[in-house]
Amino acid sequence: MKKDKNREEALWQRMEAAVAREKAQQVSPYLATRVMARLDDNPSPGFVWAQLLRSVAVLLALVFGFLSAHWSSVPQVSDHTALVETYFENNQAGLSLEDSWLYSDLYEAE
Amino acid sequence: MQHDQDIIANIRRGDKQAYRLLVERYQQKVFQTCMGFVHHEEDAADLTQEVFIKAYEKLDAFRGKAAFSTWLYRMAVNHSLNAVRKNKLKAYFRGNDASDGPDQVDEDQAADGQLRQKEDRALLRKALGALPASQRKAFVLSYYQDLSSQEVAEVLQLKLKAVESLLYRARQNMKSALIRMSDEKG
Repeated sequence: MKKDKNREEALWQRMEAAVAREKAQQVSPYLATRVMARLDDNPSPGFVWAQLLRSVAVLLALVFGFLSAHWSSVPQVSDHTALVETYFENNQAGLSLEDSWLYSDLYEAE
Repeated sequence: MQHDQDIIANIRRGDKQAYRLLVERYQQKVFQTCMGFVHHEEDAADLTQEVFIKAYEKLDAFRGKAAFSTWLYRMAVNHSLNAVRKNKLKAYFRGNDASDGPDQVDEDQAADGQLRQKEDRALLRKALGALPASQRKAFVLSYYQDLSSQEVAEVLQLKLKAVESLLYRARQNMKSALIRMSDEKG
């Protein structure tokens, strides 16, 4: 029993010595310089947040633009409908079109 | 000597270089804490650097209720423990034991004294690694940083009695682990 206790004590002393050796290791004298260099390379957290906020704001504006166009109440007009409406609602419907047919060089050539 | 709070006030006013004073003041203590978790000089130096960068980035969160050193040591302990866990996880997926690091004993190497020291270091790493996280934190702060139980309690945000109990159990568990490992080795 006493032998076990002694063995335990001896092992514990070896561990304490191992801890002391690890503790005695000195940190590199350049550590502070390395830390400061890394901090200079990295933008400050405030700058990062500002950039992030700006990106989110642009994205939101784009999404809002698309959605407002999609949901707007302006009727969707096809090309065909637009042509017919322009032709018949005009006071001189088709005049310019007919003029171009009658007096075009192409027509005379044929 | 300028007080920590004054230095922090200067940093908050935009004097980034003032942070160098805090790094120089606490780098050795933080390094010792990291050594207590990783037992490897270069890894501990890298961790120390990361701790100081993290502390700078989170400086706005430091309210000054406790000492700056207490806040910094808490960060060092948690960051080191997370790093050890990540390494263990990586080692698990690589299929080898994380405790078998660069300090593994090479039988053909060096003189007896050096060999014995390496053996002891490997034993220490294993015995400490087998402790539950709370006991390990208390042990490292007490043995590697020489903090009093009251200071350990402040860092770990625990009651003094709880820390004393953690330290007692840590010592008992380590002693049992050392005997067991020594028996296994023959």
